[in-house]
Amino acid sequence: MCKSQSTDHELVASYIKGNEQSLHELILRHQRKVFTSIYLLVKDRELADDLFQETFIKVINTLRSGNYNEEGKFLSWVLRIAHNLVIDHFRGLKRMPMVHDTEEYSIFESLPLEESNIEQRIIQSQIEDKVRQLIEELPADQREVVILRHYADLSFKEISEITGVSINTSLGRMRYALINLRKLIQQHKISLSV
Amino acid sequence: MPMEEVCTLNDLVAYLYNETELTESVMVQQAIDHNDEVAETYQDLISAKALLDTTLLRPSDGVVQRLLNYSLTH
Repeated sequence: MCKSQSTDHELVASYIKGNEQSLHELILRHQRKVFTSIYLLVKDRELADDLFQETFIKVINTLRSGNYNEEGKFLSWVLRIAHNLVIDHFRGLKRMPMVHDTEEYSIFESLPLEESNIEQRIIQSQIEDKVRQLIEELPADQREVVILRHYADLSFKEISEITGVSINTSLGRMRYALINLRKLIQQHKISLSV
Repeated sequence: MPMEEVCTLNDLVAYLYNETELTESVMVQQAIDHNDEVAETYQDLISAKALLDTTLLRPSDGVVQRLLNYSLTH
């Protein structure tokens, strides 16, 4: 059995040796960041599910084939695969991501609340919905760096390598994104106190 | 003293995401501690970052199980 505090490196090594539970642990540990990163780029839940699945199939195949390069963080590697699959998808479609109306289900699932009364859940849900709208209102280059840095947990250096811009440009885009979000918070009068 | 003479906005963003070297971190923290304009700007960045922390998504039910099944059968 895997210890909950096992590092990604230990889990990868364990999975390569045949411990399937280690794969489960790795997926559970990183699924939110990977899925959120994909979803915020493609804005389609079903497509994000497909790309998430395709990402981890590549992960599984690479680990199984012994071709995994241990350089860098496991999560960064997974996210690079996911990002490339998203790019491939849109290259295939030869169009930019479209915003889909997805009100038939809750896009942002609530994080666990310490006090689970109904009023707090409603407020939390409203905040999450507004955050989604605010992120989608950001210019594409700023939205991309927000997704890659904040949700995907890539460093600004890694983002600069993926997107082909300098570290300073990545930092600048994040800065503008945060400033824009701050302005939008004030405009929309969003309170973070739940 | 103007903020740009103390540290840049990019320095603050890098510091916010723990991507500064030790000497840079000391420099930025000193700027925050001793310059009201820098401190206010940093608080704004923290607020915006906190907003992003409010939401995270998860794949649909069944996706993870399909991956585990794939791993077992390939």
